[in-house]
Amino acid sequence: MQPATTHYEFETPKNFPTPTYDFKGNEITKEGFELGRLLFYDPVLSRDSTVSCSSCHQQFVAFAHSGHAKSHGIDNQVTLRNSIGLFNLAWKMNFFWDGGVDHIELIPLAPISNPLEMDEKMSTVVYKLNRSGRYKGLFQKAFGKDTVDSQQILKALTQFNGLMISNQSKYDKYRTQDEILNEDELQGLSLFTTKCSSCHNGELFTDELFRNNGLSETFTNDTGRERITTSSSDIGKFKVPSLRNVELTSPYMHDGRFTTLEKVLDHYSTGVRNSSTLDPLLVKGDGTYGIPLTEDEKQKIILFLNTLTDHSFITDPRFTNPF
Amino acid sequence: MKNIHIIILVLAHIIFFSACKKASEDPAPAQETGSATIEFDNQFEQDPLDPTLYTPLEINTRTYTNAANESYIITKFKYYISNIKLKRADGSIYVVPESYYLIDAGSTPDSGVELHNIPVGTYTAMSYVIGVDSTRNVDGAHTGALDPANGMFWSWNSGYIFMMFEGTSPQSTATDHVLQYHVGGFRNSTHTNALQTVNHAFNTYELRVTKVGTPEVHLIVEAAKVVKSQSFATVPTVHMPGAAAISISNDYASMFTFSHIHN
Repeated sequence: MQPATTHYEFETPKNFPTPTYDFKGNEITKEGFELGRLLFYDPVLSRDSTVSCSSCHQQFVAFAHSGHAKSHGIDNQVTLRNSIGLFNLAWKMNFFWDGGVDHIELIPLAPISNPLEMDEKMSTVVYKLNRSGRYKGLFQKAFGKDTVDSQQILKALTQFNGLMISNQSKYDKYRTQDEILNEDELQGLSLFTTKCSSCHNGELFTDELFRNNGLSETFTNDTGRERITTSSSDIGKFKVPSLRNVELTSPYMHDGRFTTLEKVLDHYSTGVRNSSTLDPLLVKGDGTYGIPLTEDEKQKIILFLNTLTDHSFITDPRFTNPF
Repeated sequence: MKNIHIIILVLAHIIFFSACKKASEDPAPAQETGSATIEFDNQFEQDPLDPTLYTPLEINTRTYTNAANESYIITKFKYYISNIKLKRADGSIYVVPESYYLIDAGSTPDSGVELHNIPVGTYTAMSYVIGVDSTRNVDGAHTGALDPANGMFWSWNSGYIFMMFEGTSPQSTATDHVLQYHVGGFRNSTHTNALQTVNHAFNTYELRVTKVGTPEVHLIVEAAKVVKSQSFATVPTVHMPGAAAISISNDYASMFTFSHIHN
């Protein structure tokens, strides 16, 4: 029997490009979205019910992990990489710092099964949720089937994660409404466009490519994209992250090595290290490396980046902890 | 004695794409169809002295020896078969739609892959892919044979495990002397693509699909081929796409042999 569900609309913000995921085959309903929200905040997904998605993805920092260079998982273990903020996922080509996951619906499988994160088998999650008094009826209402399966779990989480759209920053209002950026912010935008937007381009502030931004000469601790492709030409390349909400998502880089945006810009101006896969955009005309930036320019770029903070997103009651 | 244990998980309902809708609006002339079964007879290997005999595959209980003279038992042997195509005598090809099957040679029941709604006719060859094509690796969450909860899925370097072969060997240098060969990799790259296509000519046989018959195509699978190039002391485990996985996939691509057809 088809359950009575309430349709939720997915709308592309007017300054955004066409999304890569359009929810075809996974129509968003209030019931599916709310179920996904429960699952996101529920440690039942982990082996010993101690770790939830929200453990490392906190709303007040745009669903990154506040203050953690590398996120923490089950049994107090430390993971390999920095937790990425979760927003505007429906526009991404692939996921994680190395792009190892190609589809939004498949994202939760990675943290659930990672022995350093939730360390649980998907088949056990299915078993637990089928036995749960709380969830059994909620799945029936959302999907109209008697038995919970992994597809329903992944689709419910996708309805929740996919609707986490951040498009209410001061910058967005400058672009789409009549909000005004001040003189410093406008100068920052101009500098950003000249010096940063080759990679952090478009309204999502990323070209979605994998690039080596000169953090190391060897990348012995983490080879990045090479772990997926096994191609030596990908050593040291990581996904160019969106800069939306970047004021909130400290620390920065795949390993969280920089605690402030000042340190990030210091890296780009004077800290870039050469290797065979270093991005050509970071090689200057005179053969040295990095992006020329004065202290004044750095401060203005940061003032601009702060206009990308979406305060309504991080307080949106639709995304808060339901427990 | 044949020791065949095949489990088939039939793929459940998949999303209908607009192309399918268009096709249904403009139906082809009604065609008579029938069924056929593909039997995967999972054996260990062909007897070197008598090619009509096979050493049976006995999961958990029988000790085998590889070319490097390392002894081992097999505890798990599973693989995906997909994209089945049947070739007619005139050279035209029927593509079996949504054909994805997970074959578990270590489990019961003794069964084969049942194909339905096959156009009536005479077929002289077939082909299939060992593994799961790139499309189904990247288009979201599936159920049935492709349910990631089946345990044949890598989550961090996302994609299906095409073939899983596990066991133990005293010579294995891994923890607890395990053998774990998990092979997959679909990305369009010479470094990671382990997809293999198998072709079988039916030779003197024909597959005759009729409205009422249930013909059976018998294929023999030799599990020993999976590890024929392996040294358990050197590489006891493979857990990700890459050169080692591709090498094993090249070996197991030859583990399937056409045997005969019952019409």
